[in-house]
Amino acid sequence: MTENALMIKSICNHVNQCLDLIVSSEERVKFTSLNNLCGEKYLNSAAFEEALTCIQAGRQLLEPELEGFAENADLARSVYLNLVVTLYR
Amino acid sequence: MWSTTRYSEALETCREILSKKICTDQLQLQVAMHQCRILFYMGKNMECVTRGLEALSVFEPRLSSFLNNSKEIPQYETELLKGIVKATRTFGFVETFKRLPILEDAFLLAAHSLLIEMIAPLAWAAPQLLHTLPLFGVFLTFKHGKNVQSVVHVHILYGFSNVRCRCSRSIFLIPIARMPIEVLPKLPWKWQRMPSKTSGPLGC
Repeated sequence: MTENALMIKSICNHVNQCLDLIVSSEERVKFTSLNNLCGEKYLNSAAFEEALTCIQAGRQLLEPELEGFAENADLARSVYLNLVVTLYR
Repeated sequence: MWSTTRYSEALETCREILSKKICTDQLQLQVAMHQCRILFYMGKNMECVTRGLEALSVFEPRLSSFLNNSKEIPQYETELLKGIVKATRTFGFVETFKRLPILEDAFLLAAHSLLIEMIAPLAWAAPQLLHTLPLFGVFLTFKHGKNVQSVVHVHILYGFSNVRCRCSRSIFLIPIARMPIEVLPKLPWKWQRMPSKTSGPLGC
């Protein structure tokens, strides 16, 4: 595992402890993106439970108001598809 | 390694995605592909086929009706085959496939993935469509371009059309292996125990 991947996972695990405290829209989108990336990395490592935690955190950060914006649409689609894949793997 | 396998929750999420504003045509097909896979894993083959055909009706609205009305299937298959023959007339089947561009359209890629997902449930739930959908996949390939998924359909069709192809032989052998023993023709001779020397008539 690369150093960057470990750092992303470490950041996500830290942030996911206090999701309610992140109120800034910009930060919520940024951490959603990080969680989504982290979830994909966990999925590729077959660590499904960890992937589910990250992607669900990403979903919680994004919905319901932020996913409606056009600039976040691609991210929202990616999060939802990853969520489906993680749930049935 | 630990699997989550929350099928009902995954299906619920799929329905949620489809109801959202962010859902595009491409996402609809991708979600349909995942729904088909989940339903197949759950053993709900008929629901899987119905959902897949519903999603594919974007391309061909008649597909859903073939589930209940199998009489029109041969006519539709002939139409598809005519389209394929027309597309490959100039350079032949193999050469035309070689010259096809690589498909990069995400919407069509999702459609091809959906077709692949439907092969196994079709065999269980709607075997009358088992040739139709691969043929439809080949038709899409020659119309728009090739990708990894479409190679499966093209290879099968080419195998059927070329007797010397190894693929065709394996395909023909599968039904024979699954055939009940009563259907197989009876052998001209009957197995009999060879008379042993000790059981022969005494005095010989």
